[in-house]
Amino acid sequence: MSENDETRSLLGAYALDAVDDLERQAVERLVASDDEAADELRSLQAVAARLGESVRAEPPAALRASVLGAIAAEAAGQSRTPRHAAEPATDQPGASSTEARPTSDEQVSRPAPVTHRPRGAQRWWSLAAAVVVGAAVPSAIAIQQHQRAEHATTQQQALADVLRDPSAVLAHGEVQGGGSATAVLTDDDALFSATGLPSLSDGKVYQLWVVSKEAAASAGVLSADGGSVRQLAGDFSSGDALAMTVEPAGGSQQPTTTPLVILSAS
Amino acid sequence: MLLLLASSGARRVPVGRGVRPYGTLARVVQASESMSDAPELLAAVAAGDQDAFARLYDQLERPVFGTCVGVLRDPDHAAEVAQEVWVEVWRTADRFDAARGSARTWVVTLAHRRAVDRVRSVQAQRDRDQRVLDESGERPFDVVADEVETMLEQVRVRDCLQTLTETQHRAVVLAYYGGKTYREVADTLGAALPTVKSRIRDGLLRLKDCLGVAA
Repeated sequence: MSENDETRSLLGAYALDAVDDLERQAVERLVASDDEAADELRSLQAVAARLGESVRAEPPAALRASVLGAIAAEAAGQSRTPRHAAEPATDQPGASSTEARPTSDEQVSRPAPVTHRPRGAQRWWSLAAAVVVGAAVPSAIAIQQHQRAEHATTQQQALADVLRDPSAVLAHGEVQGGGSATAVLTDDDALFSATGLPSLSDGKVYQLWVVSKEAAASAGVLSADGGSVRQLAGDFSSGDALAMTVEPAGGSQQPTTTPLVILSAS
Repeated sequence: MLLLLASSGARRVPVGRGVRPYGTLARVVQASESMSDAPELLAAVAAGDQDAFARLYDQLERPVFGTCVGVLRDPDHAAEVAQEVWVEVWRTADRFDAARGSARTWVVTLAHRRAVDRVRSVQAQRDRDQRVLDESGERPFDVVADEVETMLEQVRVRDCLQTLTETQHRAVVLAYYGGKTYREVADTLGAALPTVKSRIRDGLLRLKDCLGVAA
């Protein structure tokens, strides 16, 4: 039996993931060069997939939000080497047109009813486009994020630390006027990031706020780097939310405009 | 960790199937009835389109999760692996090659592989479980086969499995749902390696005819 015949005899086992690593590589080499083997494998894999698909199982309700949150975080983390085309910039976030928002209203976002907002902050929040609430971060993702961040910058290290916190919750939402924001919220830290933000006219800056039931406290003026911002808000407590506004250069003591996005854990 | 999701009710948002926080429900429902746009969705996902990802997820959530449960049994484990699978789909969607099979098969195949990886990485625990089974006098194949029997919701797949010869049936079930390599299957069945390899292949080809799977 030639080596190829030997490998060909493994196609069924390969389709069931019942081979070891060396055998797997041998099969992959074979099908890359042998159309007949590739055809056979294609049909064997299609059959094998039916075996899995036919299992009766109801996915947990929280899985969807958890997966989409993880993907949003991945996408935000990739902002420095964007997979997306450059996003058009506008002067004023509030005035941007649909063309300036390539991520349209089908975007992954979640307008929550008023009742989901912490009491006390409602008056100020009620004008905001959307309040976005998060889902818990699965530890598997936290670990992956951590591993990916190990060789990265301090800020990414901060992200990894925050993600490893068992209380971490991911929230993701569209920014009114363009861009999207992702935050990881824990009981004592919050990491905010946004990408695709329109550039502001001179004399305006983006500012991040930690919003508690009673008040909003500045978490700093955000320096936008090509429409991307990232900020660690250390002065954050369980139940607080993050909000981003446009403020006069230098920032404000208290928010003076309607938040463009609010991210909350619950 | 799904444990975390389940136990932290205070901060968990109600995202049951009735509440669709992402995307537009009507289109998602329509899309799941025709699978034909999965390849286009994967292409869009490869380009970084999160909306396309959400729609792909809605189409393939159940086959992915079902595949994980089929191998792992434990729903919490299955959910963890399913989550890893979806992140991998996001990261590697550009590797999908429509010439090599359907988008659905690509995603489900990935799910099976990761579920099997998980089984093998917890092999030590499984070996301990296995000893308990052995001591109770049950044969592993019967255990796996019984579990599989109750898990399968598609009568057709169940019936088609019954059309296989005993060795084909055992080899396919132990490998696919048991996460065993064909060498382990050969050990378990006391059969020669070439026999097991050909029984698996023959068994799958018979299933293909029975199920009418188009390649």
